[in-house]
Amino acid sequence: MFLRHMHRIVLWCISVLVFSLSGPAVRPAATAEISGQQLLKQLIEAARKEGRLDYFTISSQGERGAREIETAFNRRFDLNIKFNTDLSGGEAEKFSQAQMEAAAGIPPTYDVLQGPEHRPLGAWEKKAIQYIDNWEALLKEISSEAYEVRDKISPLVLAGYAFAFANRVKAINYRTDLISEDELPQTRKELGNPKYKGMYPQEKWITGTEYGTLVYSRDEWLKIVQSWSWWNPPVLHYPVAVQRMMAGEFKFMPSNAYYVFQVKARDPKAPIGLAFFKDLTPVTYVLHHVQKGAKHPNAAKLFVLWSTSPEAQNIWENVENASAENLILKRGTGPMSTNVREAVLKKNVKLVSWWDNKKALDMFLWYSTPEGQEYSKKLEQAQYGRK
Amino acid sequence: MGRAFLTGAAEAGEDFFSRHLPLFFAWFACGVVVFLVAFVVYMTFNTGLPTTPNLSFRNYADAFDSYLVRQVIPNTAIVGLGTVAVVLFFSVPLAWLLHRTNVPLRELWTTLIAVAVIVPGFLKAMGWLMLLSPKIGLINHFFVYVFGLEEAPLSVTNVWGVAFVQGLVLTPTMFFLLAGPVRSLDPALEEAAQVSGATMWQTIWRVSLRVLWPAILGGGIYTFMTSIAMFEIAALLGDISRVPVLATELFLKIKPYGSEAAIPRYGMAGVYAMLITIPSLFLLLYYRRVIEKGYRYAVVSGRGYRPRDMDLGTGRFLALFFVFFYLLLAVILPMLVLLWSSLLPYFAMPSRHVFSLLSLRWYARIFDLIGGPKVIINTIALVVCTPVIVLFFSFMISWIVVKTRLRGRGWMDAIAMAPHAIPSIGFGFALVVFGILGRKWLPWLPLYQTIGAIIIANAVNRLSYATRITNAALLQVGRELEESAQVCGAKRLGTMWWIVAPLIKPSLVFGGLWTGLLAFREISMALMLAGPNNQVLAVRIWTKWQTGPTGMSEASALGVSIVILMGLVVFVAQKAVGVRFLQGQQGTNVA
Repeated sequence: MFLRHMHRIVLWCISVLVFSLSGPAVRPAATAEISGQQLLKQLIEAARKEGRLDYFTISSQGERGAREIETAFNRRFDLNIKFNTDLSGGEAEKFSQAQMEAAAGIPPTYDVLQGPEHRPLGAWEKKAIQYIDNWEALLKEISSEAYEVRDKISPLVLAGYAFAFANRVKAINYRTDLISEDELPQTRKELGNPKYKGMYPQEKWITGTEYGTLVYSRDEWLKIVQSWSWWNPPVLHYPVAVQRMMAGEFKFMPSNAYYVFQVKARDPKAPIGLAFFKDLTPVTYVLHHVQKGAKHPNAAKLFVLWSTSPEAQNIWENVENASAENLILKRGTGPMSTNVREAVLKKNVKLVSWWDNKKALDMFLWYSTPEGQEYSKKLEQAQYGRK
Repeated sequence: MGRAFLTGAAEAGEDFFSRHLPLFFAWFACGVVVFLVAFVVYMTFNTGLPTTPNLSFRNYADAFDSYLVRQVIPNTAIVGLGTVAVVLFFSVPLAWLLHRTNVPLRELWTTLIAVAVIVPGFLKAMGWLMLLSPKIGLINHFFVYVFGLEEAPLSVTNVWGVAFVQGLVLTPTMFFLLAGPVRSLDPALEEAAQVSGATMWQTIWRVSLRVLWPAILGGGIYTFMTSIAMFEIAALLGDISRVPVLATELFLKIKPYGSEAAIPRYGMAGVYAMLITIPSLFLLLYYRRVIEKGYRYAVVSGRGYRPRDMDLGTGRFLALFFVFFYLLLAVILPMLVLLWSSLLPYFAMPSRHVFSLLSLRWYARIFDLIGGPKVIINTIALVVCTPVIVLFFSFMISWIVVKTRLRGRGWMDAIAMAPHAIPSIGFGFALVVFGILGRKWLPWLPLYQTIGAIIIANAVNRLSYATRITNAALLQVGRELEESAQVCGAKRLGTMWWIVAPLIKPSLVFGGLWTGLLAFREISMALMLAGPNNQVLAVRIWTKWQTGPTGMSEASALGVSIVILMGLVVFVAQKAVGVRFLQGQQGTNVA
């Protein structure tokens, strides 16, 4: 029994240790600078020899965004790497497939995967992620802006394994012509109020839901989530839900903040608004990581580090209004980040993430334990309305 | 088994390859079918990954929970039976009206029904979502406005909605299945009934329908089997909470969507595939029993058979309305909604503001939406290679079955028919699993997330259909032609290639074009087998639809473009080949 849970215990110990040491690393500046340049040069040359990158990325950047990213990356490092970019979405499927490939011992389909924090964490626990040696020195060379906030870019237990290039702020998107902001549920607890029957779809993911245990006790939170599905609301993938909300089927939908700005970019007069729950507004981190056994590991490492830079960020935000707002970088971000940041500040919203403090991280890691997984399953069933 | 063949070959003095290649290829195709089916059965007992077998009954124990029994199986049954009801409601009258009566413009309507086949079912479902959604559906809006209702009277986002849309999608299949039997119905029987004092309705009910019973039963069984294996419409209309059916559950076991990135449960998926297959097999057995007593339904004999159209009088305009009503529901309305959606930046109901947003922006970016040359090349490969492979192996199988007296040819024909009973999604699943094994132990085998896997899945799935065509065609070629060729010194392969194949060319062209078009619109297997490098257009539309607030409009633009493109292909093919293949061969199943 003890041995069975040994890896969990080790995981907790590591998290405590890493969290307590999570300030900026103290290193001799000159040495780091020199070695960083050399390391970067070596990495670039190794990537050049590989010549290719198989890459699963955010679908909202579109073909044009993917082309721009490829061009900018190659221009930045004077490379000619061919990107094989998968824009088909479905990150759950892709991570599931990656897990299967790792377990079956077959080469990974992708060199680089992207996904919100719980997915790389799961891959990290299964030792399916490639650690990037000297990542801090390399990051400093590649992007000083990202290096400044490296403890957020590659946080805590994922330091050196996964690298944040975007955030997703959970919010309420609503039809301004169908419901006023005052009429919206003020807290997540209120979503179960019968007056909201038929007004909103249920989220397909429970990653946002899991945050509830940071604010409520586990039992109380489970009851709250169970109260949402009494009228059997449709459970929809966010993009489909926002399409149907814009068609008038729903008055509001709990989802990500960026949809409002994606719609506004196409139609500034579109009747869509943004609001936040007062009890809980999570911000998730979206991270890239290099898969263990990747066919092109050096190109992958170089790309993953570069993807945290303002240069990449601006392409994602400007070309197709991709879902890549970044609240981590202090400067150099694009219009999507600015819009979301301003909305959060204007409404005086307190954002919470798993990476804020030890208590939050412990809770996040708890979801990986058998007990946490069992609880997670109950949350999922409650959210989907499955008895 | 091949002894007689060998002896015959020696007598004819033919070389080894000429005699044995058809046999080899025929058994190879049958072997692939048996292998894939056996793989599905094996996986139902494997609780681990395909590469790490761990045999037990746990998959069955896990699959048979209250969720399956209370929701999934009843939903599947309702969708299957409901689809059959809708299909029968439309197809039987349509077949009778367009083949046995004097409805105006019959050829035009028949061609339009055939065109309805080439519009992918999920595009129609997208259209119907916008027409019959309880809150935003345009038809519901109409009813609420006209009749002053408080709530929308109709909904398509439930199990009945799925059955309705699937019924509309599968009606042309049944229509063409019934075409032959309806045309062959001897009017003497109907005339005799009317002379005996029966009304028109009594004649139809007591004579025509009863004579057509085997065809209706066969088509109904085929429709049921197809409908319970369809994934895309239930997934699109029902989302994950409302209409879970076996096909969607199977898909989700291989491509999990949950928050935890769980390793796919291939064994559970296998159990679901079996649950779809077993009732289909029983139904097929029942159908065979009916067919065995087919002599009771024989109506075409050598004695004065003369097909004749029934004069409907003024009723033909009512009939015309019925035909138009079907086309309106199946093609015109959903396509109009897709067209509307494709002209907007995001889908919205008509308003003054929304009209100001109309533009061709997505069409101007159509090549970006398609996803680049890779997607186009994959699609062309699929549409070209699938028919070539299917027809080649079907020709070989039919040659053995029809033109030889080899022992085991009956088994061969039965195996070639097996894909008819096994859901397409089951073959997709088997190839996913086989692809994983291949990637591990036979890395040179291009089956893991390749376009080859999708082509093979489609080819196997269409084998039963193609062998029916080639069987029928070869039966019409007299033996004396082959014997003459052999007397003149031609070898068997030469005879097949130079004499027989040209004679059955129209059937091969018909089968090839249909197989290509159906592979083009197929989505269940293509989605299941999709990887980063083997996306085809149908998958591209599906994934675009799920991308951001503008996804619906982007997918609509792609959908409309594809329908126009397919229409052009059909038009050019008709002109080039010189056969009216859309209207098909009588009684040939086209889906």
